[in-house]
Amino acid sequence: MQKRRLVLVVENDEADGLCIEQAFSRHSEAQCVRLRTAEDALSHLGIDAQPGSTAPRALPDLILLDLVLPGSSGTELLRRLRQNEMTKHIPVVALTSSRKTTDREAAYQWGVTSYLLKPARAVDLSRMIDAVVNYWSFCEIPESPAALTGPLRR
Amino acid sequence: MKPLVLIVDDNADDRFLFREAITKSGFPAEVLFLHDGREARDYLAGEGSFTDRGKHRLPLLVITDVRMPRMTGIELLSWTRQHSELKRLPLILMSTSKVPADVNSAYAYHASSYVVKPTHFTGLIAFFKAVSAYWLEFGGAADASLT
Repeated sequence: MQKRRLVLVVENDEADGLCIEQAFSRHSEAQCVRLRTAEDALSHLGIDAQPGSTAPRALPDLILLDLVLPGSSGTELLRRLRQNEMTKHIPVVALTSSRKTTDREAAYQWGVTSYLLKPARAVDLSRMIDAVVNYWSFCEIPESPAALTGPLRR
Repeated sequence: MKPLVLIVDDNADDRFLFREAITKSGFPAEVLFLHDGREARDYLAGEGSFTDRGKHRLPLLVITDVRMPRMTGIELLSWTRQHSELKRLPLILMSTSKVPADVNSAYAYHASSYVVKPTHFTGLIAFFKAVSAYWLEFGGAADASLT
């Protein structure tokens, strides 16, 4: 792990959520904030009000998103993220047990960054989170439009 | 058959280092090195000397340098995203330095990620191990398991 990352995890399943949180707790360089629904995520990011409203919180570097959620789906959340100026640049990794091609198609349509199938066994899910944290530690993260001030801002 | 990974870089020294690091990392894929974005575009399009898809199969992943003559990594990325067969092809951009405008362009064109080349050889080995775990062990399985 080279860079400390703030990762927003949107996961409703308690067993999977606990497994993911435990996996993150082994990586002191990555901080995980877990929320359970798309609505909670929108509220947390401050984009549940009017389009274009500013996000008051520190934006995550990466979002891990289960596509099957109660209330609005993960795909609907992804659409909202991509349509908001403050969040459209954030890499979003779908982490889902859905094996439906329609879910994958919808996720790609709304600009999912990568699509990972959640393993059935907790031990494998835990290893997958290790792989996610480790891989993304090598990756640069796009800066939010608000961060692009000075000469880069036109 | 092992999955195929394309690595596109015009710098011979970098290709040599990548080859060494890949070997040391135990990378579980066949790796084909190409020399610039144009050659990679020809390969992916099945054009020029790459018309035989039997011999030149599509890769599971592309790792490409950003700054290259003839066609840059971002131009290659943008080209793949306009083709239905290739628009979801995982593509990692690698650069010697972080240029914020390039990073933003990369993700705006749906790059899989943007990575600054590790400066130490051990870092490069670690990077290929991380790519292997993320894309080949977990990410690459996705397409095969979908119904």
